[in-house]
Amino acid sequence: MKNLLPVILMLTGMIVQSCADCGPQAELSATIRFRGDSLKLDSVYALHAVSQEAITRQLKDALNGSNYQISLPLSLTSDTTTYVFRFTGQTDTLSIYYQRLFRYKGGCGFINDALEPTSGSHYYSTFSKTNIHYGTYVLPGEQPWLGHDPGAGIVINVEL
Amino acid sequence: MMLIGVSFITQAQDTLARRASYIGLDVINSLPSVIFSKGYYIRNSAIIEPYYLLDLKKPGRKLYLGAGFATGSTHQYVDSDPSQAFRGTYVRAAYEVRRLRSTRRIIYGGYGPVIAIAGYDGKFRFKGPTFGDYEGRFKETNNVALGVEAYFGFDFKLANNWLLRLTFRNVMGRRTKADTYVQYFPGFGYTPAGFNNRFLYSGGLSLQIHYKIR
Repeated sequence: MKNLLPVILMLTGMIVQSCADCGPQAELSATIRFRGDSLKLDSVYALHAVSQEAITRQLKDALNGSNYQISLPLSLTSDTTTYVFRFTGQTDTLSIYYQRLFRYKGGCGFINDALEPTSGSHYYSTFSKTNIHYGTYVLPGEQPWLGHDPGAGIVINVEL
Repeated sequence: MMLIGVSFITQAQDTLARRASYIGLDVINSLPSVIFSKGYYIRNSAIIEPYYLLDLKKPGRKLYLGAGFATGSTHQYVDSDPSQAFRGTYVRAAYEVRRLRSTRRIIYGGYGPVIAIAGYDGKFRFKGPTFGDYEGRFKETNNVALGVEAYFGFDFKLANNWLLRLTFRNVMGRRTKADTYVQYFPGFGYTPAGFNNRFLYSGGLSLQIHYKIR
């Protein structure tokens, strides 16, 4: 038993080990939640994009029912990202404003985040109802080593 | 008082006269970075290290003083960290003990402190498959590191007054300020990631040519 003690201590140490959250360290994505879509989303087009692939790939996945969500990339080179949504018989535009943050974080390297703009409007939208929530992509403080939820990031609820 | 002072100086001169001293240079440190510029962790870097060796009063003991200058850039090894240009100077001192194997080949070992000061200018990149990549810059100036070095090696007497020194060394130290992780720290070499970017450790090889000046 005496010999087992250091082993147990080491194992406990490994389990309670915590680490810093680094966030995606890549192109960030905003979550768009659609409520009461009776029209069916046909296509989504990103303005000033070099590739639409990440968006079209999501549309191929079944968008079941009238309530669904898609994850749309945010530009790393601009503080605004604009999307055009085409429904059967209707077209809507949504511009998301944010403040990009690039910094060094210990244990991670360089990280990126998108914050709420300090001034000005937060979005431009032609949807009948739009609601935007800015959550961090990089969680502060120490996180449990295994299985912690990633930062929520930007979440937008729209109604047609 | 004066007499004591004068006698001390003359005595010092007497002992110095009998003790040999060498000046040396290591320039091969930068060779791998030029020859293997694709695979080595630093590329096209200039590393110049002058040395001064002085016999101490006690037989078989030496004082080993070294300076160094390094400028170059690290090799891209992570997508998000494409380049780090560095420039730094360092000084080292060591107390050395030697064992005579034969008259031509001598093994020696030593240890001592290392002080380095360096600056960095680097880039970081985030891949943006949908909207394009983002490239940012970072800069660090007057980054100071303190450490200790331990080494052993061989001396080969080449000809009159010429000495070839092969040294295997291990150096570890700590950065006093570490805002960003750097892949190479002048005077310390390759630095492992982790430990809050502060801990430096490296092992390496040095080949030096020395000339007896006295």
